[in-house]
Amino acid sequence: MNRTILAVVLLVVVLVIGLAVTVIQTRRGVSGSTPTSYYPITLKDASGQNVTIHSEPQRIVSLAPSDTQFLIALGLGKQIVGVDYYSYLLLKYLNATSDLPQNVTIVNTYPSPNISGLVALHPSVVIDEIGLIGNYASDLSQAGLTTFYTNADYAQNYTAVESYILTLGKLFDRNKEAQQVVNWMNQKIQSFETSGDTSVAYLLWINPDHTFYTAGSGNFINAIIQLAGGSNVFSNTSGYPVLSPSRLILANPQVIIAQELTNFSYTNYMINTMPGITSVSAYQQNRVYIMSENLPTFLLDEPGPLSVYAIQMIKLMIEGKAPHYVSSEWVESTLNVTLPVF
Amino acid sequence: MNKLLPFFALLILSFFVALIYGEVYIPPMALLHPKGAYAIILERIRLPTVFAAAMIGSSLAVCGAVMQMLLRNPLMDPYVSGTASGGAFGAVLSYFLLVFNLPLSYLIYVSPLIAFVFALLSTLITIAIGRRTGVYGLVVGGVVVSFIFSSAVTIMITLISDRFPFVPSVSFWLQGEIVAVGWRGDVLLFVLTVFLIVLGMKHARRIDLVAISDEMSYARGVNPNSYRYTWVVVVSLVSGYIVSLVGIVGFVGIIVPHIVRRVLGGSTTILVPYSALLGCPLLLLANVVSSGLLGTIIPVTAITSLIAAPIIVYVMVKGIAHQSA
Amino acid sequence: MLIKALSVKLNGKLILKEVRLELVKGLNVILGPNGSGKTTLLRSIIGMLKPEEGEIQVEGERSYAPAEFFGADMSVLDVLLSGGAKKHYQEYLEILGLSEFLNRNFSTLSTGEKRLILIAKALAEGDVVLMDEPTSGLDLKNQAKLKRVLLGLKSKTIVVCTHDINLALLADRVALLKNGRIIAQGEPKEVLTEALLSELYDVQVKKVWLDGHSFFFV
Repeated sequence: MNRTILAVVLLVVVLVIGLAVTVIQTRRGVSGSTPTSYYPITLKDASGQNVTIHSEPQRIVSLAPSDTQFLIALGLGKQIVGVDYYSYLLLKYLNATSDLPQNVTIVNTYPSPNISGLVALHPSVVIDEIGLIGNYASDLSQAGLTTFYTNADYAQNYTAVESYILTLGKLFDRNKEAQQVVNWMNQKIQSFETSGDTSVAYLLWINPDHTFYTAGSGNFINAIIQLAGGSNVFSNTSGYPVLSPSRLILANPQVIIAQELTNFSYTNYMINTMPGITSVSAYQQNRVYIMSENLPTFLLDEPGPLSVYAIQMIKLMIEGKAPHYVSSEWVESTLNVTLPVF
Repeated sequence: MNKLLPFFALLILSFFVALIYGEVYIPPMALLHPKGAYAIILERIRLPTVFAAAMIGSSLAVCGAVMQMLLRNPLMDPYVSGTASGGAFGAVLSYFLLVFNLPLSYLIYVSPLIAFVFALLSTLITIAIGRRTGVYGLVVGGVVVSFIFSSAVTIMITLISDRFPFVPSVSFWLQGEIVAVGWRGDVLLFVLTVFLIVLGMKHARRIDLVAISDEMSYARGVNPNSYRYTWVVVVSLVSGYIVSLVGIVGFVGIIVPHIVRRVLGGSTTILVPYSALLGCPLLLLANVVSSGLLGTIIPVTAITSLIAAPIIVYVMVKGIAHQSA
Repeated sequence: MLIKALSVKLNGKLILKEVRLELVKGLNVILGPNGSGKTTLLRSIIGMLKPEEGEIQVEGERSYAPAEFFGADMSVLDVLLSGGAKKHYQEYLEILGLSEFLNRNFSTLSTGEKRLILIAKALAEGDVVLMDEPTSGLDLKNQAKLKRVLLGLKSKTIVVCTHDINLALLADRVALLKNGRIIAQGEPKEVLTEALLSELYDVQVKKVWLDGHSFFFV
């Protein structure tokens, strides 16, 4: 009789304790997560579409170097399962491919994005630039992929770029980190920026007939030049026009910055043989700088967090403190370019 | 003489317009008293470029006229033997070698020469294909060769754009940009143009004969097939050189002889001199627009077609019968 | 002038087989059915086709009035002057009554008128004048004009290929060409018999006398 009662009491105690524990755990479980779950969340992207994310994205694909920079800076590097070729190239220049998972897939995007390859990666979301995806956006949606677009490539200043970082922070529940990235960028900008109006001509590419591409006003590059203490002689144009040597002679810039035409000697040759170049002040004063086609060009062309270093890079050229061939190694060692991860 | 007057007037007018307007605006005062940057631009760039445009317009028009007569096809252009595609291939090839750092990448420094070599090569291949089959074989051969080289160009351009995003579309300057031709290019251009016009006028009657009948040509001691091919070689030399210098300038060779034919008459004795005279201002004015009137440089072929199309439509719709020879 | 043992191939097929032809000053007419090789013969004489065998002994400048040619968008004068060197077109134009066309655009003329122009040109330019079907497409008045001209030119060697048997009657010499072979040649009255013509054309040909002239019909 005593043993039976003991057994029953023990059973009841165990049951009660078990029940209590369960109840307590459940309640803790509820209060352990945020009182209101962050996901699902709906945001409007740069293309105007409303994108709904239902749960924290674990598999991210980025098809633009600017977006890749954003994501890694937000601490999402290890969740990236696919990148485009140029993103990977940029990370290689920075020796930062370890920010990505080892088995990350490089997705082909030229001449058109490899849709089946993308689908095979089962991404939670695909991030890309509007300017890069173009008309293929509808193909991606039709394939059932969740897409989110930024438009940093057409940003006219850093404020616009930072807004995309904040948006992506909101998308991925990394708001705190996003603010940290923005703060980091603003701090770097402040430390680098300077005032001045040295006239600068930026030669994006020189064609075999000596016509050249340059950046007009309203371009990100224009903003960088201004922050670096320079003034773009071609700011009276817009977009990326093709101009003739006559324009260069007439503009008579104090500094010429040219992107490398695949190799240094050919670039030098094309500049030396530009008709009328000997009358241009920059040439006479030996203030011609050639940026090598890897890291330096990426810094200037990709509007991501790393582009703040471009301000310092251009500033050093304007101040005459840069070598005539601005190489990756020089940029690395002088500027200590690192992609911050928060 | 009355007929020549409006042509010369147009020519002189367009010369002035082209000197003043272009990639940069040179105030008319500066033309008389050039100073500083304007002096340099005028001497090194504007004058040689305007001169080149005039020569190119002339010679392409004459080439087109001769080809249209000899091949009995009013829509023939100077690039009948694939010189345009061949030249384009040569130019893009040197770019391709440079960009991919392949052996022979130093060829980029002589890229115009490579373009010219391939323009000639395409001519030789066309002639080899069409040799025995007269007019038909020549035209078909040219089309085939054009396609082959164009496809190769497309492949190379695609590969370049794929691997190197920062290299702007290579095809841009291939479509004709008469922007910064130096005096050195002009000398040969002048010689070729004069040679072409003189030769064309000397042979005008013979060209007429070959156009009318092969049998009549044989009777007069002219082998029409070899005669055609000889002219194809001459035309290809000229057009090949032009392609290597400024890219592919289209439409001038087709349209100018057409206009002359409708307004003045279709004998080669009329076509050659008047096409030469009309080709000049057409290309000069097209180049004014092409070289920056719209904010950025636009390939000149696009402009020549825009200018020429309404003219040819007007001439044909009006049915202006030509006057006597 | 003589053509000896001429054999000519076209596209691998033997068209003319050992043709032996004598030509005299004045009007020579070669009669033959379609595909007998008349045009091939003319083309060989001007050097357009190279013979397999045989030789062509013809002296003097040759000229050719073709059956087919390409529309020339130029004045009649330019057509006459094509090939260079001024010749006495005026004469022949006048005789053929074509002087009024001198400044007209060649392509606006009727086919018959165009042919006459080219015939005038050929007559003016050559000592040996070859004509391919000159009377076809001509109305009776123009045919009459042409015949008058051809008969009056004894200083030139005119070689005419035609179907027009009645023209052959007026010739100085006639040859019958069938399947690439000359089956008869000589003076019209010898060659233009009912028997030979029936053999030539594979059809019964009848000859009649009318007003002192003979005519042929089928």
